[in-house]
Amino acid sequence: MSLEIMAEEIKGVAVLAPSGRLDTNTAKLLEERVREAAETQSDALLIDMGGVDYVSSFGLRVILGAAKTYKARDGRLVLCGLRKDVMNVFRISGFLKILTVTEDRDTALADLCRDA
Amino acid sequence: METRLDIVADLEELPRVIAWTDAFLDGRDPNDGLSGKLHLVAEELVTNVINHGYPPGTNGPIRLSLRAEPGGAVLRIEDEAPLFDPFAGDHTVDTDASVEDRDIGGLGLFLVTEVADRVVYTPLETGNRIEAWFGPEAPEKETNEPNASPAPDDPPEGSSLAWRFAASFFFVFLVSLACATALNFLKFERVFLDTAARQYDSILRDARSAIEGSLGEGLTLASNFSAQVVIDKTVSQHDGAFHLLVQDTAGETLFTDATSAPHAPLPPGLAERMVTEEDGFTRFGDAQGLGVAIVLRQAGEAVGMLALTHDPGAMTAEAERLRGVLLRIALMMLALFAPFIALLSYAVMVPVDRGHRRLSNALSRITGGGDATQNAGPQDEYALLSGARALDAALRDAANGGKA
Repeated sequence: MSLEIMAEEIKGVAVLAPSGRLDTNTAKLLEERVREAAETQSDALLIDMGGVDYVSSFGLRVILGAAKTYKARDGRLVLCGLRKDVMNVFRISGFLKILTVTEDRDTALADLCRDA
Repeated sequence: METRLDIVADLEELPRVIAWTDAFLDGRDPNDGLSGKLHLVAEELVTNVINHGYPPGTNGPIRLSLRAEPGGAVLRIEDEAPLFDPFAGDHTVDTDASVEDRDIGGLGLFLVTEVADRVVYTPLETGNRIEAWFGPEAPEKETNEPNASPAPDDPPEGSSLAWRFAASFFFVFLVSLACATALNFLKFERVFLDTAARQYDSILRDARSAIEGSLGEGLTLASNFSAQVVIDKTVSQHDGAFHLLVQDTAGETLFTDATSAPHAPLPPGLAERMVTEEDGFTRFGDAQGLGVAIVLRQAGEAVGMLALTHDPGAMTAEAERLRGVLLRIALMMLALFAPFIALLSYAVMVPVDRGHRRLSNALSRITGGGDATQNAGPQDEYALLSGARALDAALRDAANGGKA
């Protein structure tokens, strides 16, 4: 019932890899990490969702907030590795239409580095 | 199978809620992804009550229950917060909007309505209830939005209630009207006779005044032929509808009107009896003839009596004729209003019939489940659960006045 977040930088891209549940109580942890990443690395953010098995509206809210932040700075946000249930929630919310989502981390990094 | 969980309105309780839904499913997943759906809907609804239901800083109670349905489940959440239907109004989210235009909030309830197969809000006496249905047995998708146009034969509760109230009102009104009419219908003769009696009393009083006024000094009742004139004139004025006669105190008839004999025989000794009594009307007679008599006085002393007799048969005949007319009018009104009454009956009976049908279905399901238990298996368990659930719903609906 918790969320752990690995933060690293790969080829100039800030990578956040949350693991666990992205819900009402844990979403603020990701929000803080997104804010930190935006402060230090404003161009590109990759959120690797491979370890996230659940997302609620609060989690979606944080991801939408991140997308707005990076969009406003002409930066890029890419998500990858969405599990089936999480993908389903993204689809219902319409997030798949407005966010860049790739299958795995390598594709996402290649995508972000090509643009950089 | 049903399980309950009572929590207080605090976000710290959310992990307990999630663990509780997991314990309910116990590793099963009768509906593909039910576990994830239950997590999401339970979290969003509970969070909504905590953040928007109770006033800030108050940790009111939240009661949750989960019950199994064939291939799914029903999650119920009740609180004691001020009445509020979170699904009233427009909660759709523009999923085509760009990142810049997308609102950051409003996704929670949207997800609930999208993920659950049906969501129903019910106001309670003190608080709110939301039921979310999952699975193939869920009734048709609906989030009881007030703007949603109801199916023609399934009006929303308020409207249905108003309909039934109006129908009951009209029904009672029509029955009262029919009863009043029927009673008056039977009372025709009585009404006629009462009216006639009042009229005759007045005629008799006038005739007595005329006769007494003509009894001058030295005249006796027997020698006062003015009395004859008075009674003849009075009877002819009323087309012989009654007869008049004058008797002396010994009971001897002194004058009768010029027509045939009186209809009603006078009771024996009436005149003698009457002179000892106070002034007033003495009534006599039976179904064949009715009469009323009054004492005649000369200088304050009773000298005889004046009697009026009449045949009630004439009035009975008139009542019969009127009754016939009214019966024809009633039949005509019935023919005119029959479609209206039929429509009203339909409006009242449809919800009742629907309730009966649900009950009947529930019972037949239980019967089916009962037979199948001989080869006990998961399917049979669901049949029984489904039957019990349907019966429960039907009884609850009946208690709620047949809410669809």
